[in-house]
Amino acid sequence: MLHHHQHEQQQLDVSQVSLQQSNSMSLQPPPAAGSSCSLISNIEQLPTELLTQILSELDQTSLGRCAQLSRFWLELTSQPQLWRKIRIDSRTADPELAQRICDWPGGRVREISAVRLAAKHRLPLLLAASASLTSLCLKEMQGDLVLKEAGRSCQNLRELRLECCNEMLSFDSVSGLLTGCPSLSLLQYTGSLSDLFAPSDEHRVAPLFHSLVSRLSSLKLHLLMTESLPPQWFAALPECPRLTSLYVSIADWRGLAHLPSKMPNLTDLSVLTSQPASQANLQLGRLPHLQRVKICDFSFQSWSLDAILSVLRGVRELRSFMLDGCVHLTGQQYRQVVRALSARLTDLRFGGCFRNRVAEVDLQEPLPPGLRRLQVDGFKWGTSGVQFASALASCS
Amino acid sequence: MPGIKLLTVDNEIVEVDADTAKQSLLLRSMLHDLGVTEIDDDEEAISLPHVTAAALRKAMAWCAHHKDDPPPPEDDENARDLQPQQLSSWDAEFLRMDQSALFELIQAANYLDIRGLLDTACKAVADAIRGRSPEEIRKAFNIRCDFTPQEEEQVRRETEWCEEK
Repeated sequence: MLHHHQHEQQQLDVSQVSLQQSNSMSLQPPPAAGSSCSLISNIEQLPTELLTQILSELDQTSLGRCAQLSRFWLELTSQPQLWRKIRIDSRTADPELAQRICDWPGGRVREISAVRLAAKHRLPLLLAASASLTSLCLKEMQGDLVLKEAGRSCQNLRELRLECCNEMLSFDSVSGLLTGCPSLSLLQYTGSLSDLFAPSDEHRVAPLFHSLVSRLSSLKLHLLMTESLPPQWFAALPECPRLTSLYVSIADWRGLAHLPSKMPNLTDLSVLTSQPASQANLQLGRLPHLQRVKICDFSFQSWSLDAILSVLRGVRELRSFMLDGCVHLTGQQYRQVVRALSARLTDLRFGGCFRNRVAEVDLQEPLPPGLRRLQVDGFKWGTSGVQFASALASCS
Repeated sequence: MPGIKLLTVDNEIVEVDADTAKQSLLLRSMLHDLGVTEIDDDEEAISLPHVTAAALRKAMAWCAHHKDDPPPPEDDENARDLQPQQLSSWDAEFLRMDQSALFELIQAANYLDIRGLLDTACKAVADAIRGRSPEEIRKAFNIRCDFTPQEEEQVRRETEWCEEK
């Protein structure tokens, strides 16, 4: 019989049965097997550290369910180190939750993801007790209080993800992040950029926001269809020497002309645009470290062969090129594209709407040996270049 | 092929390949200390107090299949967070066994100090928990609920926030 069963007759104060009671953990190893044979018939006979390792593979949903199994499992799942990632959603969070988490895994939480929380959920209270926090994700939330608290209390914050948030970037919250979170290196935002800034503050915040960007290694600004970053936005940036990964929504390709001077160390560039690109303003070859280029062009205007070749030939270190937009290739043009592929390229994808006239005979054009993935107009293979080429050879 | 003799807790002598056995950090250090290089009929078997013969054979089969794996990365909390890895199909098939055999294998991997196998087998148990309701987990693992109905209701309420809606 396991140790916790010995207490089953005892009247338990209901307030004791709570995930907060981790300080009074009384987990003990199960009794040693009496016989010479260590047959384990039940999971609860495994030593506590092994049960803990099993639980450490689980997310909070499964942990919450395991907590409901029995008193033994409630104690087991209450160990603070299991709760490093926490997701709080207004649909299931009660107003006392922030306080309960503070009192229990508290300072050990590494990642918090919060959805639609209001003032009554007191997320700032939880952040104030989360000095180990490295990642914060806020979705559909309003106001600058949460970020102000992050700047005050979360000095280890490295990643900040925001989605459809309102009036969150104010002079106070951005300057707080600048001074309080020196390790912040990733910022992602999806939604309307104008909604993100506190309206009265916008002019004072813009320069601060640029300073914040200049410290990052990864920036993603995935804006609504109607919004985009104008060329002036890029022109006003200070140099961002650490930035290696950039994802932006643009309407005017001239903005990207600033990248070589502002972000000389970019390796990954993703561009979301509704404006067709012409060869003249696509000078990606001026970014010497660029390796992965992804362009989502929903302008419905076909990319010219020259524009495609300018990327393939111009970007010397190109490993991966993905163009999601209109690509209409004839068989002859397909062959030209394939011939322009460098030996370093591992991934080439043309997605979107097509009117290709690439025949099987064109597909026999030899591919670079390193290519691991080629996707053209519904053709999709996840094989090595060699296999792909031989598969193509056998097609004919 | 040099072999070594191991005496399991259920009093069986199991002969295993020395190179395979060295994936167990426990056996590796034992062999090193004893200077054992090859099988010798006079040599006494090494006694393993927490390992059954069935679990030992299973563990050695796993080691033989994974002998060319790169060493597992240092136990870095952040690395673990980044990539929750799925079991390979070979491992998933290999670990398809009844529960007590799996628990014994976990116990054996832990005692023999075979990190890769321990991690893999723990993941397999976690996979069997994931996605199930508390009642289904109790049933799957034969766990008795000792909460009073009021306590059970309170724990359910206090863990409701954990659910993804």
